Amino acid sequence: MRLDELVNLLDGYNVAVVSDDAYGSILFVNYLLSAMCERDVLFVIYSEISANKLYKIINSLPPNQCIKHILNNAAIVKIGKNNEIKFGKLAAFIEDRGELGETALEIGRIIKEFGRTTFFFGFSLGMITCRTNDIVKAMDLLLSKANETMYFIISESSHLDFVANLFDVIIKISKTDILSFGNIYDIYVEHSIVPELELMPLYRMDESNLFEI
Amino acid sequence: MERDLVANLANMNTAVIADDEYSASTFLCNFANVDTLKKVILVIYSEIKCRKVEKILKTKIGCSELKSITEKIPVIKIGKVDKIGFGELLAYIEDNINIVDICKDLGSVLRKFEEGKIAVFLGFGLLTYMYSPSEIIQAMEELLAQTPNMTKIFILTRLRKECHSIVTAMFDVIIRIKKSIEYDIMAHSRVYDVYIEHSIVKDLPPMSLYRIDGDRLISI
Repeated sequence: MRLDELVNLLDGYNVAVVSDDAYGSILFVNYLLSAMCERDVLFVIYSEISANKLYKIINSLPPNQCIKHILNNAAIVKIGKNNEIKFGKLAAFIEDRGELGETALEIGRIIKEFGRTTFFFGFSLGMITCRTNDIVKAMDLLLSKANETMYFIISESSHLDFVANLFDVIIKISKTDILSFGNIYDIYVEHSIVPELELMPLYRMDESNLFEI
Repeated sequence: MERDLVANLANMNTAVIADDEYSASTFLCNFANVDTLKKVILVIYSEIKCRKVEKILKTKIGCSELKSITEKIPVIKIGKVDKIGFGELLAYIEDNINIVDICKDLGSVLRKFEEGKIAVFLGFGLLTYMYSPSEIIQAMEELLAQTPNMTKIFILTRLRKECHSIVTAMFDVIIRIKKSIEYDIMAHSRVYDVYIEHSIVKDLPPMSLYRIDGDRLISI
């Protein structure tokens, strides 16, 4: 399945992209964005830690005009300590006071207003720091407001059963064991309620290529 | 087999524990014929699951003969807003109180229905990530106290591992939908085995029932 076909298939669904590490997940996002050249997107970035990491990884990847265009035009919602961003246009800044429910409602309102495909970054930290009870309630509040395509980029894979309950699709990214070193990843469908998207291997990728397997 | 199974599950509290939602929906869509579906009341917990059910109904039975029935299927929703994208909303319970009190309210709604109805519960597996086992058992106690004879089928997917033993303790029958071990995760497959894992029904002992292959349910 070509990447643009996958992107079209996932329209309207809530997708978790779950990787063993931040590098693999953002590398895949980079490829996903390259299949969305015509779209305006919204980024919701939680925490200064994740905002910095996202910027550093994307900046280190080979330059691509399409990605550059998307990043320049992306609307950014930042939840953190200050309203500084290093790419895109700040749509809203939400000070992180630890009130997950209120934050989810506010994000839901913004997503509805923009009506764009939305990428969430940094919420793996929430999986570690928040109680699952609070996460379910926050997700419920978010979905009570917003109905757009959402990609949650999660760099932590020890809660797959829980994540499968929250999302329609899980795309899993794992390091291959072909080489002990280097950044080669396999990408497969771990969970899906989409009839046309079975549980199956999709791609192998490194920094310079993504190809179907 | 379908008729026998439905008959054997009458008045029972049944858990269908599936490896994923897609296989659970395939089981339900094939298992439930028109007559069975007419007796069903859906009870849905959470916006998360309500949205998923909407998408699954749209894609899986969008053009089948069951469509006209599911369009009017009675729904009781526990969530944040009183809107649903399918069926007819029978009752809405706002999810802003403890699950024990929610189940008390739910029980008093369900007890008003005539005998012979089948309550199918969706999304209640999330509770295993939200509440302690003792709270879940108390909630079930409240529900059972008000609806002792109603046929109840709980569709549960990917439960918190620590809660599997309380599920066995709570239900009369457990139907398991498990990914077939003949197929591994890296293969293109939606192949599952469906079997009775636990049962207090004399005529329904632990046994194999079906195999799910894609969207088909095949009797074994």
